[in-house]
Amino acid sequence: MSTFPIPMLSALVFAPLIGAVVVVSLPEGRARLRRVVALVFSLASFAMASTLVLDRRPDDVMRDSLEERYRWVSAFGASYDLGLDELSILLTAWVSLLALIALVSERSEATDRSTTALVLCCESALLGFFLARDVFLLLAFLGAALASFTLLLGRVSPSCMRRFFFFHAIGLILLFGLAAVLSHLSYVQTGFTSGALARWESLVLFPELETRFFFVGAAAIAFLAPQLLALSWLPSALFALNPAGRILLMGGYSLVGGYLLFRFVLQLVPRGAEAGSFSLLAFSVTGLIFVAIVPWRSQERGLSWERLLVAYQSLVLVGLMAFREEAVAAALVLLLHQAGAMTALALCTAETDATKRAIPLGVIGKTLFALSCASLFAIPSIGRVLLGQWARSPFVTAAVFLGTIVLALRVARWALNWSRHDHIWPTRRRVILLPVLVYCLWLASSSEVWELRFRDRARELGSGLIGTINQSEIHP
Amino acid sequence: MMVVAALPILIVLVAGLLTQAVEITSGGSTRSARVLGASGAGLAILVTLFLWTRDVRGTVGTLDADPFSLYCSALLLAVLLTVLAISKLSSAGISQLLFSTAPILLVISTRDLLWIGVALTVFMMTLLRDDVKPTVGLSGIILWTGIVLLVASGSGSDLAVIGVAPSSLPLRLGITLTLVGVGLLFAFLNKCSWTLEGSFAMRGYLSVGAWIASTVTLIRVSAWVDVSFGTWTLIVGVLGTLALIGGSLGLLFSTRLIRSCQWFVLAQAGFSLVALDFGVAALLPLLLHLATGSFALVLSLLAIELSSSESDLVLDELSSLSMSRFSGAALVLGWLSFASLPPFPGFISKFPIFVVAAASERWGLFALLLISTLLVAVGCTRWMSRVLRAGPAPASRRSELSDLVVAALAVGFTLALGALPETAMRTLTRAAAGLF
Repeated sequence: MSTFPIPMLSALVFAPLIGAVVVVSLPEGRARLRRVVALVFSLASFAMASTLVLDRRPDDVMRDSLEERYRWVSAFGASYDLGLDELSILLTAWVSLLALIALVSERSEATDRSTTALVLCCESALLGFFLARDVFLLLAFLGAALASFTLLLGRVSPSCMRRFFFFHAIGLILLFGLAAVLSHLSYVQTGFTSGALARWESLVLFPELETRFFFVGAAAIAFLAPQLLALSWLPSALFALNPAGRILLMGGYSLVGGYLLFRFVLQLVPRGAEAGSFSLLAFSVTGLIFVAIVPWRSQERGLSWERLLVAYQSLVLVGLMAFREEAVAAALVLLLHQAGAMTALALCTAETDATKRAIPLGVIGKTLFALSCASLFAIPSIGRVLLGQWARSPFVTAAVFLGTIVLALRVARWALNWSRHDHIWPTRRRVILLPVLVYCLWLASSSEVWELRFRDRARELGSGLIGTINQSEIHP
Repeated sequence: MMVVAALPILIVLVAGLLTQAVEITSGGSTRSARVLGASGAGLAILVTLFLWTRDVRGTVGTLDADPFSLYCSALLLAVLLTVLAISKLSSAGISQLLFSTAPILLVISTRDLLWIGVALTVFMMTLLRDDVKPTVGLSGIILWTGIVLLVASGSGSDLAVIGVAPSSLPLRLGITLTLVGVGLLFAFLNKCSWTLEGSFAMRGYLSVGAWIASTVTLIRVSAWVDVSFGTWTLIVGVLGTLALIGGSLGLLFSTRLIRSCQWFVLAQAGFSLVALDFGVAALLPLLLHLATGSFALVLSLLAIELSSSESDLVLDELSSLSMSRFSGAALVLGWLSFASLPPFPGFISKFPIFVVAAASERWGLFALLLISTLLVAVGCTRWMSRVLRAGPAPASRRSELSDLVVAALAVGFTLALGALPETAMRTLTRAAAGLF
């Protein structure tokens, strides 16, 4: 066990931000230098995240040794509070790897310094978001991530930017409202203002109030996360973004909704979530069935990424809404599978630039492609999600099962069609696909281990709740 | 003490007179006028800061240098100094700015409604040039009728005396008419200031001045007079709601920059009025809201002004501007504040007001505040999306000092009122406490 000489979590979060400032202050026209600087800062962040992954310790020890807490805005009790648990470790490691991949995949001469700086800002914001343990800090990093993606989009397509911002602003405003009410209740019940998530989790709320809060939170997440509503902004955003932005949006920002639901909404109002879960489940199942059945568009861009993301998010929601620790843990692992597999597929099928050195896909390429398609369907995790939901609602489980089968068949058919044709890859893309695939395979091989580790968090979520469900099963 | 407290006003007036003298003698030398004006504003800020350090308490009459007045005066003067130092102003514009500032400072520094009436009328006169708008006259008449009624009712015009006077019909009517007059006068002054000839930042400053003057007046009334009578909530609620809805929707649909700014200030004023309706608890964030709204608007306008020589722009024309990266950065920081994204200043000032609204359990107003925040954010994003398409500045002005100063001010503003607001919060706490 080692202790770190610097505030490790802050260094991890702010290294890319400092990189962004350095990149912006570099003179124009120094594309190669800019790229090197960006990579150095991103690599530093990745190295720190990797150190944390390797320096494994029990959750509570890690929390105690690494937590950073300072007063931030005393007017509403906000504190700069960063902390770490098993879930945060994996997410931060993944995001720092993803940003590195995004930066490598971008051709230096095709981007300007603002774009590179914004990619680094996105990384910083996402890392902070996954480490924040204070509601206001969580919102601050979410706001920073939203701002970075909005500005990235604005540089290429104003209309996409407006659409993206409109939907996300609605979600954010709903979260503001929820946070304001809970902040007041926290003051009433404890006598002082605080934004600490742990304190808010201990609030005592009337059941109907909890249900109402859950619906507000779920509505906010429906606007923020790639859920069914995302079909209105996600396709255009993915189409307009530069490769690095697209990779970060698909692999990183798409995790925000599921994470927010787990870390914020479900932790604060678990009983409200249980009471209102069927509405959210109906929404998720509708999304999954819609995506599986309705014909996919935009064949010229390969797979309909947005629909695949929606489907995956639906599966994650189904797992979280099962309120069983094994299903919740499996849903969290599924979230990580989704990020890796979608990134791998995006890299496999990204358009080839004719001006750069390119090579035919070949056997190795096809193998890598098949592996990334296969890793989309992390069968053990999906199985546990479905098993967990079966106890609550066999009907929902059957619908989700059918939807997943249809989806898998569609992806398989598309993959076969795609690999039959000749494709050429830029050499760089093939190289950067490898670490993603290693991540996917590592996750697939160790998913049970991670699920076991996540069960602690899932148990905290269900404290008292799982008992309620069991009781209702005994006395329906 | 009164003379010392009046010093900032006198300095600004003298600077205005000297600027006018320079304009007459040297045929409008902008450089000398700018130096004179900026020096005057700077000196007035120094005097205000000196008075702040003297820690005066318990004497909040007219020109008593209480912390509340000093905070609002310093805020206004800081915005003025920024505009005078950077904006492309003519010497006539500079003297107009200085002459308009003096009455606003008087409004800020007094609790006597008679003085407030006189100062608002003078401010109105400085904005009205050849074309006297009948609507402005009407709001002035309403305001003065209210003040005359108050004086005639025997309770005088000092808010401290009115506050303890026995309730009577003329008193209530007088207060009601005064409040309506101030509210309407702001709406028309806001419109007038945007139709003036001059730079973007100058018009923005005058509009912000009208907003600060009217909000401070209403804060003083709410602090001194027993506002539990029904008409207070009705007036403030109705005026605030109308301004908030009108401003937000106007911002969402307007296609010209100047119109957008006009609607923006109206929406912010509406937000302040609605916040005021929640009582003392909203005072501190309200004062912060005044600072964030004023600085974000003026800095954004300065950034646009440095990239364009037009007096107004259609929104689509923003994408054809040539903008230096410093001005671009300042505009982005301004937008982040307008959009109320955490952790930027717009969020830090608005969130405590949401909490106060939730605590009051007036869910209609709570929802209204949230929806208007959303509409303002979306409205501002409309023009920001165009600005992001702007081309780079020509090589000759890529690193011009004024662009750099605007960017540095925007960064300082974002850090001081957004990301690291504790020092600002302490100042605000003292200012808010100084009102009572």
